[in-house]
Amino acid sequence: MKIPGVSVTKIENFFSTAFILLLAILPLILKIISQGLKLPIVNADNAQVNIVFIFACISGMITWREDKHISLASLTDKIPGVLKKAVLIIRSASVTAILTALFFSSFSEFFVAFMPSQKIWGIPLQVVFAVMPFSFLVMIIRSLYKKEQKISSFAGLLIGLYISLGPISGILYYMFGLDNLNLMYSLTNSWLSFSVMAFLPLVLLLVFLALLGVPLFIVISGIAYVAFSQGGGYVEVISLESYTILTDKSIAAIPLFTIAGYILSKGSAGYRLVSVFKTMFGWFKGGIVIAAVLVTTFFTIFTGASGVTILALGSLLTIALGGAGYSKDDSQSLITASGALGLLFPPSVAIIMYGSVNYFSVDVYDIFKGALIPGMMLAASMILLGLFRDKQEHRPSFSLKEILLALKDGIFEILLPFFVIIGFFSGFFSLMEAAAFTLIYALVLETFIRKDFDVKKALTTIAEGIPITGGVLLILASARGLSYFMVDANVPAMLTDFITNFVHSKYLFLLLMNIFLIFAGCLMDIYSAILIISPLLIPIAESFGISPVHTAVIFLVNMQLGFLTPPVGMDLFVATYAFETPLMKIVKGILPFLLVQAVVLLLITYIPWFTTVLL
Amino acid sequence: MTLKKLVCILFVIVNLCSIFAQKKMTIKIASVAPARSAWENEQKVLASEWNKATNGMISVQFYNMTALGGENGVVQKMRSVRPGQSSPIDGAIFTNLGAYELAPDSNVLTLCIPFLFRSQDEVDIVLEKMSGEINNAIQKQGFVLLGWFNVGWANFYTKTEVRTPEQLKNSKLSVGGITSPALGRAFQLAGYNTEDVPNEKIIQSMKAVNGIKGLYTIPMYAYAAQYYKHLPYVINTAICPIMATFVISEKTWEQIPAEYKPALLAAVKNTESKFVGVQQETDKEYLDLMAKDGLNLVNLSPSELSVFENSLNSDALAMSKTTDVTAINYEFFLRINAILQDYRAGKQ
Repeated sequence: MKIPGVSVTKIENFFSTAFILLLAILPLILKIISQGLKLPIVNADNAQVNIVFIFACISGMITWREDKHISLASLTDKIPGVLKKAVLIIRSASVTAILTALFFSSFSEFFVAFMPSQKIWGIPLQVVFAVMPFSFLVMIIRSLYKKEQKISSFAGLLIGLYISLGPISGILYYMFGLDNLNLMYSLTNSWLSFSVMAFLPLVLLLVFLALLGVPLFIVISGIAYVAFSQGGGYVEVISLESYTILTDKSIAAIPLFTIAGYILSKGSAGYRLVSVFKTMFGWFKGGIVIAAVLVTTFFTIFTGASGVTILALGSLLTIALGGAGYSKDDSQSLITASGALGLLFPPSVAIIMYGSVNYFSVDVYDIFKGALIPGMMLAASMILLGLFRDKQEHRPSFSLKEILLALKDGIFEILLPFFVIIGFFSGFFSLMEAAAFTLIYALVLETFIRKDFDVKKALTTIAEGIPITGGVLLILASARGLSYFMVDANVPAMLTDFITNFVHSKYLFLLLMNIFLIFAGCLMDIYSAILIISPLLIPIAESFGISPVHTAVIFLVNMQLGFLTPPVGMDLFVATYAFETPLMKIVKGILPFLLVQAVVLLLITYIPWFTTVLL
Repeated sequence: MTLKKLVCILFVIVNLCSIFAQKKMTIKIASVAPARSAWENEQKVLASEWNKATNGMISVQFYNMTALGGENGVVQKMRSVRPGQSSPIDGAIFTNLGAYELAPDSNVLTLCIPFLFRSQDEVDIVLEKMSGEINNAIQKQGFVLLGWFNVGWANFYTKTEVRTPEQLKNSKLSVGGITSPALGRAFQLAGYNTEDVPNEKIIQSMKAVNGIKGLYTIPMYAYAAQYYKHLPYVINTAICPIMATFVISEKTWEQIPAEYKPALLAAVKNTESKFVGVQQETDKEYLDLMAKDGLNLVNLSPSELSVFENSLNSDALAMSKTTDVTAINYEFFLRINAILQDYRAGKQ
């Protein structure tokens, strides 16, 4: 896209790079001021998360520009020419339609999400929120700007306008006080009625669009849009939920870790780490696998969000595993599969939250004890499977001299995870501060110590990594909208009611509970699931004689499995970006690991001894 | 049967169904009540009383506040209305923080200034005189205040023993507790070191070396969320009442036929009185349970208490000077103080 005299691409790259650098520097400056100089800074946390939000919107635009939003495009790659043209027409029309709907719904929400008096550091929050509709608008313009499929994009725009008439009437009301737009209200009602009647076909159509290669964040947002349309019409809530998740402190670490990982992988850190791991662990079978599973597990215990672990450590561990003779595909699958195991070990944030929400039902320390053996079983199963897949025949012999040489060569790279882990686990760094430190460390190391890049190249490398963060953040934002629909429509309560009324066998109940929880784990974020589903399940499980600790462990194992379950397991998307590998390839690679975890889940479910023996 | 007759029958059935459907109404209420607590049980009883009082017309569906984005998130959703479109949430049972976010002019956060009140009687006297003003502020925002549930009196829980305001100011505190930064900002202006920590991450922060070292909350929350395990000292003086505010959107309230409203309000009043009755017992019960499990009760001497009262009362002026939104209204605070001084003078 070109505006005379201005390169929009350059502007976008400049702002996104500036924002990510600001995000890296700001937490550390604020830490020095507030803890070193003991000067309190009002609203510091809020300011930082709102900068993350703006960055997410801009990086989403860049990902769109670079056409790097995750999709199942590989399924349509091999279809013949004429059919492919039809697919492209359908794809462009649907994309523009949904983007238009997202633009108007977020624009309508812009007027009510915040009051004009709500400001952070003098900047009205409305202005911050406005970046979201703006980013959708830029995506729409880019879609219409493409020479191919112009007509279909315009057709999509018209469809988008029709389904957005509700939010458009809201915009006209907030801007001009118009509240008698009867024709518009009638047309809105016709869409709402249609969405009620055709809810299932519309959802299936959107799933079909995913198979045609429509970006998954568009498909998920589209499903949420249809769901809210048929469930009352308050589609504006989708943008509000996106804002909520993108201003979560845990999410704030994602772009920083991602870009840090990207910089390290583009510099010489990779081969230095490979040398270290090869000399230290390459001489015996399984050493590196054990190290990789343990490191990912420990990191997730504290971050709570397994996606963060994959982004923060994924690329480095893949390099390390590769150095020890492990294939790239197997390395990626192992790290992805182990990414959520930490949820089961004390003092996992997920367990603490489960215990806090259900304190009147179960003691958090009992869950810690109950989840310990199942967590170890899952970790052991991943290590064993990793060992089984290690086919390397020739191993280097052990040499202390080689190890010391490799360590000397890669000492700063090796120290980074230690600094992060010690800083974070000791409580010196918050998650966001740890992420900010990682990015600055990586940047200084690769630019000024290793001199792999000059400053200009370093900034270009950051800009190159930004589409990865945009993709992850937009998927998270869209998934949150769908998750909220599940809450709003009371789906968990309906399903538990169904179980109460129709299931009378304990074993059938356990099986159904597992299926239901895996399904929920795919569609909802873990915190919403704990808050909504766990209080409903515990009394039903108790009525079947299942102890609340056993229920808690089954619940958490299912949630961690849900992160990996196709088609919408969040860790699969995260891994796609972290490893720059197509989604279908990640899914294929993960299946054996998933199968093993499912077997362990069944053992945990039907043999309560594993959860109760330590109580 | 001719096609015409069939169409007529279908038409009648569809219309009857739609009339029947119009009669049913599900009201979505977000609540801060913890799952399976006595508080949540009372809510369920209230829901059932509303259902009975309206002959099954109204069903109340409660939602967990945190799952909907915390109090701030729920306020945003309740405001999200346009012509011909209702909001995703009809009402909420907020703490003072949420009620303030909904209607800042209600000045309800001013009621949270520590050591402002000394007893439930004082709270009742002030609410009696000020509730009209608070109601009006909430009504201006398009909501109806149905009732107040006094859910307990808050205490300060700290990592180390605290006996002076200075010691408290030197500790990092989470004063919001739930995702609402306004009160934290006010405390920062009075010299406190506060951090906005979302509800679900408070324990994580307590465990961190540089995390929070204190917070104030009601005993039930401190017990249920196990805060006392990480903050093992409590100032054994109730510092302020925490009131849950039950509000509903005007639009939803208007949809309820007028003949049912007196019974619905009576049910809310009934719940209010139950809360006042059990609140003091539960506060004591939970404090005792925590004390048995290792919580250290810090009993302030009258002179220490007086230092706290004076310090926090003078801090109110600084708290009222927030740069953007005023969480603490100093003029409102002075009026409350005047009512209390009169009341206390009358008692003597």
